[in-house]
Amino acid sequence: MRTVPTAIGAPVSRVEGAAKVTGAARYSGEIPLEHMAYGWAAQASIARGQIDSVDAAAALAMPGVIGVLTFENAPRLTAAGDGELLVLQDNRVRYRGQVVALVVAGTLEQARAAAEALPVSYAAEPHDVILRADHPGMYAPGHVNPNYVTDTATGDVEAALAAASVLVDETYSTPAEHNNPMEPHAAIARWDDDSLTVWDSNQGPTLVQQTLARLFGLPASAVRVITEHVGGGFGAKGTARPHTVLAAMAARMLGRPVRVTFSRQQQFSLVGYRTPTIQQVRLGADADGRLLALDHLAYSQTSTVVEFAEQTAVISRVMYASSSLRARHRLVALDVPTPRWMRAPGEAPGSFALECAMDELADACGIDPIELRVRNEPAVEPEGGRAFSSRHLLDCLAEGARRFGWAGRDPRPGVRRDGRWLAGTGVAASTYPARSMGSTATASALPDGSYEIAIAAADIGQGARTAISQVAADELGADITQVSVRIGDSDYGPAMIAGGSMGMASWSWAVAAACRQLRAQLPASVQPTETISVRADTTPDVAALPDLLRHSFGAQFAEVRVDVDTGEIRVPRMLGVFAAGRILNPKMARSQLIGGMIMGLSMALHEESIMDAQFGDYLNHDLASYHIAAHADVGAIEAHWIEESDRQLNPLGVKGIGEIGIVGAAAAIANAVWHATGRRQRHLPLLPARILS
Amino acid sequence: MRIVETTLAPGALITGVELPPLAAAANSGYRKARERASYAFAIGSVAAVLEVSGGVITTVRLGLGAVAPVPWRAHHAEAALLGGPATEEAFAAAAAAELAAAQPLRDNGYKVPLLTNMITRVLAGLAAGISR
Repeated sequence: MRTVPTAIGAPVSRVEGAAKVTGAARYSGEIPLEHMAYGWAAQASIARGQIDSVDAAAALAMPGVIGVLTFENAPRLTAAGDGELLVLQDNRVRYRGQVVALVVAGTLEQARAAAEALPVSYAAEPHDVILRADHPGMYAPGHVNPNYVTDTATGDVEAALAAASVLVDETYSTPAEHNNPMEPHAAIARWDDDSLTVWDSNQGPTLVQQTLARLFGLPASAVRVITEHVGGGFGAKGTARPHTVLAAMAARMLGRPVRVTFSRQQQFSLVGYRTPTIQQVRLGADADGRLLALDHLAYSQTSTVVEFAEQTAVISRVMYASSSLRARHRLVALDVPTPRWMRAPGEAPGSFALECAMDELADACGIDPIELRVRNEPAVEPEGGRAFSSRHLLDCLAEGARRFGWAGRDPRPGVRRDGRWLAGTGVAASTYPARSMGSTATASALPDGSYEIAIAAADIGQGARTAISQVAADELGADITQVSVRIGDSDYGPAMIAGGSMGMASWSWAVAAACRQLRAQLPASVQPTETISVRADTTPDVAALPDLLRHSFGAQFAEVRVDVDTGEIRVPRMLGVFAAGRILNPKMARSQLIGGMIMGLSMALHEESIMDAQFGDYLNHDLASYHIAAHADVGAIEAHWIEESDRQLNPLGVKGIGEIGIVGAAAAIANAVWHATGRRQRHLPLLPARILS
Repeated sequence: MRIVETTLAPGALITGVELPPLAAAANSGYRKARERASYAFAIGSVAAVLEVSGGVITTVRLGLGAVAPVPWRAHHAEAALLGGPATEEAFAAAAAAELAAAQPLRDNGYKVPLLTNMITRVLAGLAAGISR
């Protein structure tokens, strides 16, 4: 049955689903190569200091070991804008868990045994690993990620706070959290003369290709990165990580393919995490709840290796109208691994503080929290005055309230008891930027009447391959079964990563452009006698976009029950409604939105990487002690969206839905916990210990 | 009291554990609290046996988990309850008596109220004829 021309919007199942569930799909660590050797990273056991010596000979004497890379013998690299990738270039130890050697052996087990036994002697120095707001090293970074102004202010916040009838002035905190994709970081590197091929688990092969080329002093054309299947990333694979560089270095030195994979435990120090944050939010309002002042100050940490400045407070620049508004960021460089992106960097922790503070303001004003948001809905960007390309926050709140059954909610906290359970409901708003980036795509018409699309996109589980197939089918006027899509290969030309909710918003544009150009070139009703290919690059189109504020919005609702004896929290119901542009595939969109909401639930109730002040590493660096939500934690969960047509984004009106689902979820749950118990919870996660204390 | 995790001699192996039958265990309950709904170690657990006759507690067994390096038999609480009334006040007082000597650390002080609440709730449930 032909599905044209409506493949877009159809609940098409994952095109590589059968390959994945039957094990036929090969992930980056599973590519069988002849003569492959296995590398295992040895990690620093001090948090700061220097390496005096590494006894490589001892490791080389162990069974199967064929090479030991250390700072003394590793190939020299050229800086490529990320200090974490300059592995084994000097003898400094900048955080506990840093790679101090790579042991390569004939088997994984041999490499691991020798790496773990490797004698390394250090000259340790005192370390500094705990974030606190009054840390003397706090400073204002030059910008915050990706390129936001660090501090912004409009109006006189202090005067407005002094004049306000109602004040909220509270400090919120979120802990370090680790991304923990199901598939660990894995790379296999092979050199053929001066060309490097890497099978690598990442969120975008183009960026990894460009980075490797710079590190090894090669033209980009000499580096090929293949990323066919990826078992999740959540930001931890957004850019190149050390495993890939180590594999390439070792393969170069030893003259044979080398695979480097990181264990779950190693991922807690080597591939990034969400910085802990401390956030002060001050709200001043008139008696009707209209904001006169919004002041958001966020503290976070970075490492001494890379300045990574989380954009925690930027959410306060777009959410609410306020006659004075200030959003600032402070950073301190500690002897810790470098924090990186984790699903909705900035907005995820920032929304916890802002949206809990708004709930506190609603209570202080005696106004329903949804009505409070209605009263503070801005017509344009609150801070800069730019127009929104589309903004349907209030529609999401209204639709969510209707579906959730918000009307008639008793606002009083701590009054609903069912046996040993206290019950409550909460709401929070959500937003995430909707950006596109230039990408290249190739569309080909084959003599057999089928089509082929090639783009260096990455399917990290979100369904990119499938959604791209749908876009191409519609643009070509073809059935989806006539279109084969090849992704995950840097040879297909530069393309955006699967990150920042920019993947489909970027790739769909390039694919549509290539398909439209191909169609224009095809003879009217005859099949081509030879393959005709067209390559499109949307970089100029993206650059020509008008200066609008482009965001997704959403509303998160949660129902909680709190055990009065134990402080255990259950979340029997979560409901999200999102305005996130055009939804290409409802089946996978729902899956991704629900996934984000569950990650938000996990953030609310469980996730916390605990820094050990004495030893300087994350104490609970495994999945037994670093809790993520288990199936039993997830109750009824619904994700809905409202139809939104926004033609000022990209040709298909795609906003991207990778992050919006997590934003505000933790705040909705914390607000519901307050509604259940009458006690505010301003520090995540909401563990029984905090509820009982 | 000195707590040791094992008194096994080197090379010794436990080949079996015999639990003698306890008729009163027909009215028993167990509850554990965790930091997530499943796949987590208990942060506190309570196992209890309660037999009440003529309004008086005739048998009580109370064991606590996740409060010490070994499973903790709550002898103080048992002694406080035996021969007394099976009331929520009595259970709470017994729990307090057991936990009075607890020496919590910085990060686990919450276990004192946690276990007090759980002991009280589990025993009250047994007294009311429900297991949890």
